[in-house]
Amino acid sequence: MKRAFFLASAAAIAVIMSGCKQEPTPELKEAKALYEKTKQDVKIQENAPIALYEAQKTLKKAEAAESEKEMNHLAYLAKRRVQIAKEIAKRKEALKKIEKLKQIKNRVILEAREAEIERAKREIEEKSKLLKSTEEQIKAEKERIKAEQEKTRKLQQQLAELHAKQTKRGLVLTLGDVLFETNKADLLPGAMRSIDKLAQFLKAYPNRKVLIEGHTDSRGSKAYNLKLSQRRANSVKQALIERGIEPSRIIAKGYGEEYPVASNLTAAGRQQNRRVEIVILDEGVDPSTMMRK
Amino acid sequence: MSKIKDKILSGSILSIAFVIVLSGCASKNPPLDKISSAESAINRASDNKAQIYAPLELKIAKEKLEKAKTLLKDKKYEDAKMIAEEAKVDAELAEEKSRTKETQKIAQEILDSINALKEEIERLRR
Repeated sequence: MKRAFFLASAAAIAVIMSGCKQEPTPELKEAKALYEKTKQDVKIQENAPIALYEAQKTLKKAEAAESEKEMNHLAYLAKRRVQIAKEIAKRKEALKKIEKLKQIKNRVILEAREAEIERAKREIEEKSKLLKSTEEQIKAEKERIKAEQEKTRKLQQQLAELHAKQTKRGLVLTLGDVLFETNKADLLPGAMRSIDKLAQFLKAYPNRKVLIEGHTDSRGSKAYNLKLSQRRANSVKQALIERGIEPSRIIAKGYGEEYPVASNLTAAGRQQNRRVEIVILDEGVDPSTMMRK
Repeated sequence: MSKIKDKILSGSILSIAFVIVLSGCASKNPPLDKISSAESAINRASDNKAQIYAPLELKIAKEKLEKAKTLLKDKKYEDAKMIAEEAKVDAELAEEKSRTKETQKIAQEILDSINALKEEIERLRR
């Protein structure tokens, strides 16, 4: 009888207790599902074990809750703790990323410095190349000027050797009678040196033109003398053309005995009168304006 | 005689059991500690720029804290305790979320500066 009473009392207590024992609510199921799913994530396990453990503890309490209200309350806390675990894990990942990025940044900074140095070197090289080529240009220009001066000096020297005289009309040089065959227009080999030098000079000064004037002494007929002087002037012109001087730069004319430079009474005077005068005009002067009448 | 005795006994056992069970379900003291820890959790969240990074969680926490205080005045201590606990965990989530977003922002800034440097390197090598 006592035993029966005890059992009955125990059953009564069990009934009362089970009144507090709550069936899982949807909120609890949701929190549990979220916890289980989150727990699968290795990164969250690694990075937020304590927060995850707290969530689990709360979830256990919720499962043992004695009223719907308490269960939902604890389920809410558990759900929030799972979310907290997720945030902590995300942050730890971000911190790891920051560490990696810092290392990368240091490398990239070094790389940038190297690139700057490379760039500076390249610029220096380019500038020194430019400087070198400029120096070479200056040197070449100096040499060219020097060569030009040398050429001019040589030509002037050659001109001096031709015994050219500066006159109002220009530089005048005289080819004497001895350079022609007697009573003929043909130039003797001795004249060639002078003609060569003259041609060189004219090539060096392409803007200068020449008048070639033939003269004779007064012996023989005027017509003959005029013709001879013309032919001799032509010979000189031809010799210059053969040496590459433009025909348009040369006017050749015979004046016969019209313009003696010495007395025709003596043999020496007559020899001086038999001559060809070459007038090298100044730069750009039109030959027709400088001709004798 | 024995039956009467049994009845009295079983009645008293039931009463004691009820008392035990009920006392397990209800609290008698005002949950001031829960309210103050919810308050400090909210302050920590605010210190971590939760207004910017987790405004909703922060707002929920603040509202729950106010509710807990009202319940406290009404002497509904059990409800006040629960709501204060929830306010605390809401604030904690707001704080964690904010700190995470701030950290991610820093990571992004470093990444941006790396990309800027790489562009600069490209320019220098051109």
